[in-house]
Amino acid sequence: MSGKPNQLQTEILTYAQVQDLVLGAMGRPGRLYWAMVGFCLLGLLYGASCWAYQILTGMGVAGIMHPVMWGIYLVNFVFWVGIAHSGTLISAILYLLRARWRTSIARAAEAMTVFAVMIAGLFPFIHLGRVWIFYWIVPYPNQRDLWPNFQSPLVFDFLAISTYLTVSSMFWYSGMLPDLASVRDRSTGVRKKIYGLLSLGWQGTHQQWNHYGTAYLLFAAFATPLVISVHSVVSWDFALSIVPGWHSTIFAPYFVAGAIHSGLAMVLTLLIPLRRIFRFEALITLHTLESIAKTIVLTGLIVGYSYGVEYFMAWYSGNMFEWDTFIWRAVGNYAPQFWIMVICNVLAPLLYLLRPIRRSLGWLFGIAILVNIGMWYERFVIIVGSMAHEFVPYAWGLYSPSWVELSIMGGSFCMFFFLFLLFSKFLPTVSASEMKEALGPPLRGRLLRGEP
Amino acid sequence: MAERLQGAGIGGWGLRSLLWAGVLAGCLSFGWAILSGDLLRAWQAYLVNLVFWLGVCTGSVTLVAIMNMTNASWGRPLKRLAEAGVAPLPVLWMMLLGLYLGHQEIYPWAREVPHGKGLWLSAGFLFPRDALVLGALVAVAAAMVYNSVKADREAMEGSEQGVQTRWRAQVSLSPVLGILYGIGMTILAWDLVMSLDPHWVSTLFGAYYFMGSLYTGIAWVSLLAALLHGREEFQGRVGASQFHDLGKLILAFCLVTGDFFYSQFLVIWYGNIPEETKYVILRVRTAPWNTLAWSVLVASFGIPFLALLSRKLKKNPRMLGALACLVLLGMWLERVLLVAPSVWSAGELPLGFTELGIGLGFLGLVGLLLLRFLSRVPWLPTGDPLYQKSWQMGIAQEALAGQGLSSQPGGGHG
Amino acid sequence: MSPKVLGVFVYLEDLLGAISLVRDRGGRIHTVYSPIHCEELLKAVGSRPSPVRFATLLGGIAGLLGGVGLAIYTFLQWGFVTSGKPTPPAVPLVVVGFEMTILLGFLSTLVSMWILCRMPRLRLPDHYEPGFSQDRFGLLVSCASMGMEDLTSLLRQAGAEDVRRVSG
Repeated sequence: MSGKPNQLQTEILTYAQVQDLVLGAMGRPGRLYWAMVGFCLLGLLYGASCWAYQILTGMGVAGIMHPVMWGIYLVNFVFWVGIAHSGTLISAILYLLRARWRTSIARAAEAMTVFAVMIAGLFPFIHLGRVWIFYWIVPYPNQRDLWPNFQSPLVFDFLAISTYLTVSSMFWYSGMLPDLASVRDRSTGVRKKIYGLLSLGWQGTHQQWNHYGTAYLLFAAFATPLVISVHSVVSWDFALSIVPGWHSTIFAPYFVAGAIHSGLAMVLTLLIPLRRIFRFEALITLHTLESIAKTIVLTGLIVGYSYGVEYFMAWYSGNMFEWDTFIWRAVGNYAPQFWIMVICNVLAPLLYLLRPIRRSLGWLFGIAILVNIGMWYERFVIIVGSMAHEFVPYAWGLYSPSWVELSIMGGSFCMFFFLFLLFSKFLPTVSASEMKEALGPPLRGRLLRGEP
Repeated sequence: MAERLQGAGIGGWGLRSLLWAGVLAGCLSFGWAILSGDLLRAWQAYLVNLVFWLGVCTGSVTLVAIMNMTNASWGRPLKRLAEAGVAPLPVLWMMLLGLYLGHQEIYPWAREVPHGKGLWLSAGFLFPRDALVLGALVAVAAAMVYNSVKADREAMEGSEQGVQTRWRAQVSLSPVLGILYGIGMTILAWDLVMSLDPHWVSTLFGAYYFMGSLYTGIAWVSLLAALLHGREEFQGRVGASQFHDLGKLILAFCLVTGDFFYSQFLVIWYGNIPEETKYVILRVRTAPWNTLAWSVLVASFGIPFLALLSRKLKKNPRMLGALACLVLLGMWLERVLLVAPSVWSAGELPLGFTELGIGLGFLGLVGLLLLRFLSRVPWLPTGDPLYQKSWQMGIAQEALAGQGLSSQPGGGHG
Repeated sequence: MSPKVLGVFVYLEDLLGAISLVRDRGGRIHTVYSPIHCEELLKAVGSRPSPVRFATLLGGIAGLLGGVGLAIYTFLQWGFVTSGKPTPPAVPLVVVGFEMTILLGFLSTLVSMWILCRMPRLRLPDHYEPGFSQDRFGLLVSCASMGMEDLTSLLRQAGAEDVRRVSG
């Protein structure tokens, strides 16, 4: 027994109509589309050229300076990994929990995951400076007789992020195979050949569906613990140190909840325009968006709980460094960022408790943007805030990002939207085969499923 | 659905006498320990059991709240069994107040105020706030269960509007209960368990306690389901698929609790800061606690994880019930591991007749209160709209199964 | 290659009916095409549980042993003590083992799925109907004990929208 019967509440009756809707979005793109793609591409190239400038000139062009040796490159790294998590939550975890509202948004959410992980994976390289020696972290026998230190959280990061990138991209791609086949079958000429290659010759035979069904369930079962572990590993980059404000046992679940919080907000940010532009209102219903909003309330409460617990423990522990760090966060040089963080992450999502707000696209979108901003600032406050104000007063110092860092960050956002725009036009954005399954197989004399 | 679904006649004289014998054993052990001057031992065992059973009962009720909030229709027949966790709560609340009588024995802060923590760790502040927080939790839980039982009465009288009103009440109370559970159990964990070693802190401790309590809660519900599923009050609606879902949920909570445990352990191990490691080293490396620690790891996490990977085991009520027993025992030992090393400094493990007696006493008390509740309420939540829907879907499924088709839309690629 | 007959169906129950009819008459079902994953269909055709799970188990175990083994080997070989922790340390290796279990378990599931599904495949069979990925079901039956005409009429009777002869 699974969730409510036919929670889709759509007027779509036939498979052909689902197919038309999904494939209609992949039609010939208009001028506005190309303009947006062009703009994002320009931004991406600008960011890439700034990175090239940094490689040629040196890390001094970034604002990173003692004592804050981890700047917004790492903030962006954690931010993008966080965004990636809710995609896997929606596509894998909600699949295992048989939540019906996930079906229409799973594909787009997974795409968001894949692109976000790709971008996140770039930032350690960018932060590295001497990018050409990145391969030293790969464990292979070498003439230097050196191995990476498997005890280090940075090596955990390497293993976890590369696993996550592999798993999420293959999960996304495998899920698309039946849909790519359906695009192939409705195309002609070169398009047909390309989608034919991409769909790997999928025919939909009963043997294929059998193996595919089992494999997909196993993929979801693997992706679920992976989601929890990846952001726990990222959080341990900080928690395994002894820096005040970082050394805290709650970091793993706190970061995972925060990741899902920011990721769901990004899902809303992407889907609300997408739904409007492609006229997917019948597929991605308001009920789905409401469910996302309600989940954001939950994650916001968990994040708020974590803030509260950290503050209480900082006081209760009697550790003057810990307590001082937390006071400084609220009233020190980075206080504006701190208060933006608290208001945007904890207070703003509470508005979603009100039904009219949940059902208004403008409010949904606006609060989602606020949560994104708040979660970015949370990583800033945690990473930069703690490093700026460690144990010894004469080692305190401030950090502000340089134009190179900000340009690269802007380039990363442009890259994300660029990839997502390409995805939305050239790949099926809604999982048509899963939508068809949710509608139920066509039976003679009965088109709408769910009511006996 | 107007049949008489009262759970009357559950627990004949045999079971009740056993439970009363347990309560008697508890009072005798406790009294004997107090009178023979071993106050530390008595109050320590009292605290372990109080903390364990509070976790089980509140966890069980919070699971219902979670099910209500997520519109879960899978475990609906078991709703009343999980709600039964509210029955021992008022008595446990009183026993929390009773802890005041012995707090001087076990809490170091009662004897000597730790520097800077005097405001928070004083009996005059601690007990009232814990009573308040737990009281609020119990009140909301009771209100939610009251509405749930009343809904069944409304359903029996055929009042559809009454059922809807009661359901809306439960739906609005569920998130309140969830929040109170999270915050309340955190504060209780800090005050009752973490303060036993006032110089040690862990930010995850509260969450670890309430997640572990949800774990014990689901294990407890599974055990009850395994023991009672054959009874006529359930009319055969608790079957293999319910147990399969229960098994999956136990596995999920096992993994989450294990993950929380590891998160604390890894951070403390890695930082190697003496104020933090002292607590862990005492429990994991020093005799006699290290054997207990390994037993807890194996019984609470190792065996359940491996066993619950098997579909056959999950669907079999007897095996799942036995596993649930193991989980409960393992988590009870885990509570001992949290509490005792900070309090007890003699050479061997405090697991003797005193502890056994007091443990049986609490078990008997909880069992009696549970029986009393279950004998006065219907066991199937007929007034629950999601239960009705899941039952109708089940009937429709059976009818169409005869035609070789299913009324259910396919569940994704699975 | 024996001659086959392909029936294209619109409705699921027609297809299921056809499958049981063909079975009763001793025909041999070659392939069933479907646009969706359908449990009843798989059951009707008599699909056994997929052996993909075995690959998963093997991959997972290989990942666990390989990852932890490699890590332990590097600690023993280099023997460098960092921050006073023992070499090799047990506690952090949980993370390493966990990630590698997932990676190799996932990859072996993926590869075994591709192999079992006979993917990638560059050319589709000639009889493949594009509707199979949209909203049509297909039933490919080989004329084992029944004649071509018998099969064709049987499928039409069962409600096939279109019945075609397939050579090879």
